[in-house]
Amino acid sequence: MFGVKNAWWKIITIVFLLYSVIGGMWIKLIPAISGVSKSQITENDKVDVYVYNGWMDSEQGIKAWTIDYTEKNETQWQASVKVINKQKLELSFPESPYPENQTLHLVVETPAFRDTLFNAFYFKVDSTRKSGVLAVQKIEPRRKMLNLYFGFPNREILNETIRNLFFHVPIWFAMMLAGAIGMWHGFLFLRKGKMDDDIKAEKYLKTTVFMGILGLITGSIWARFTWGTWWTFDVKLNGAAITVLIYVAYLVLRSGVKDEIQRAKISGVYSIFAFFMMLLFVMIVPRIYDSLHPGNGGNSPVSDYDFDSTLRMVFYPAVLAWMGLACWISQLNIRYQRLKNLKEDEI
Amino acid sequence: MIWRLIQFEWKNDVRNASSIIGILLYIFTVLFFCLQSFIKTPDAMVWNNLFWVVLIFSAINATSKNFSQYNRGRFIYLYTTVKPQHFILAKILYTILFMLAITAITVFVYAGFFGFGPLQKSNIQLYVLTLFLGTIGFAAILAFMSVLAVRANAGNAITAILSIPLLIPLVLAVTELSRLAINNLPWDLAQSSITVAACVDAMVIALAYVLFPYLWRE
Repeated sequence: MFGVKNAWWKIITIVFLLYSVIGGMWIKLIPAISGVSKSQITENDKVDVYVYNGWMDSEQGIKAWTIDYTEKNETQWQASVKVINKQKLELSFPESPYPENQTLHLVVETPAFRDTLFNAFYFKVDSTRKSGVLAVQKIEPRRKMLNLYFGFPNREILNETIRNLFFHVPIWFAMMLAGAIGMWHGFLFLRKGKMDDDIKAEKYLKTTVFMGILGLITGSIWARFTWGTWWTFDVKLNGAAITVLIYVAYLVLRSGVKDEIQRAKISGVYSIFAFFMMLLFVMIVPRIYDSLHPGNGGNSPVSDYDFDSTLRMVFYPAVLAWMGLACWISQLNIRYQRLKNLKEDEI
Repeated sequence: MIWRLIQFEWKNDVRNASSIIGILLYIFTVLFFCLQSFIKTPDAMVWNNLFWVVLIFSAINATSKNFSQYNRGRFIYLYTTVKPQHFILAKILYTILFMLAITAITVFVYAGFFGFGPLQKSNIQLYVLTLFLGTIGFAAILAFMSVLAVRANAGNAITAILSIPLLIPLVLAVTELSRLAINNLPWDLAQSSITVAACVDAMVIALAYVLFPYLWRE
């Protein structure tokens, strides 16, 4: 097709990349309670409840109630609901059915979805005024969802940044792949001594550095909006930064050696060394220490809870797309270098 | 054979006594400078971290002189007489022994200047183990990287550029370990850091052993 040999994987790369960028940005998050307005209110008071992506037009079919923390007691405290706008409800609670201090979950149900905000309120009986006080308390917020919408999971802290999953993670996968291919060509050079393998190794490892820097940038942005800081001294972050430094050192080493064959040999050895060190720092060390990342140090891996089919549907193509992109960039560089060498030979 | 090569290295170093004296002078000067810049005795954490910083830079300095006396002729002579695996193992072992001596000297001079204060209530076995793990790792990484740099004819700066990224995880692990040792915390807290330091040490030595033969031939 297009008169280009072996173009099929490039086409797949383009299609998957477009799909993951457009799909990853276009698909909405499913509705979820994003917050409650007041921290302390008395009985018969009104609370505003914000529902992200809620799209609520009328009171028809919308219900809201609280259930107590233990969930043994089935007492529901039904609130009357008034829709203020598409993303905002006003709840007013009548006389409380709860006799004593309780932690309460808030449930909002519409025809299309139901969302529970765990530990939304702490209801305390005020003995002096004989009326209840609702105190918003967010201990270990978790969500249980039921919805008829098609969308990505909407989780506390992550919120819209969940889309970064289609960039940050595939970029690291692509980096590992480029590093592995680069190492393989370095190894082939050491075995067979063809200069072409050296060109390939260099270009793949250049892509590795590029992808590593992209991975650090996307990770940094993600950390800013979830952990609240651009950079933190987490093991995995350290490992990633060190890996990028090692590959930068590889490029410095290459530029330092004049003799071509000697350069190819030394950089081949260093690329193998660097790859195994990368495996150690990125794969093994974060599993020994505790990391903030999902899947490390007691944090459950992403697939445990919210890595649902919608995410998978975009995530796996994104991984393939970024891996393809890494190979493609490297191959263009390789071909450019070959042409440059040919030209030099002619002169 | 390895033992012969180690002796050979030692004779070389003794012949160029200036390099050894240079390293000792370096340690004394740096520590004296540190002593002058602190008005009062530093607390345990500063004491610990400063020690590792001093040790890393004396290690880099010590190994950068590693191959200064190796010219092309000597390589060709070695090439005809020894196996590359023996050569690299001897080089790493010699560097480890040399670095252990440097570490011991640094510890005592350091303690002479700043006192043994933080070590008095510490878990001394863990501290010594940390010193060993750290020194072995530094020596192995720096020895292999200086071989690479020598084969690249690229000067000493390249050794530092190549080895510093590799040293960082090891440094993080050993500073953590010595912090645990100084605070006399139980051994099971130290397990993960010991594993990491030992992994880095073992991996570097293994990779050097496997990869060095490719660098040997010219």
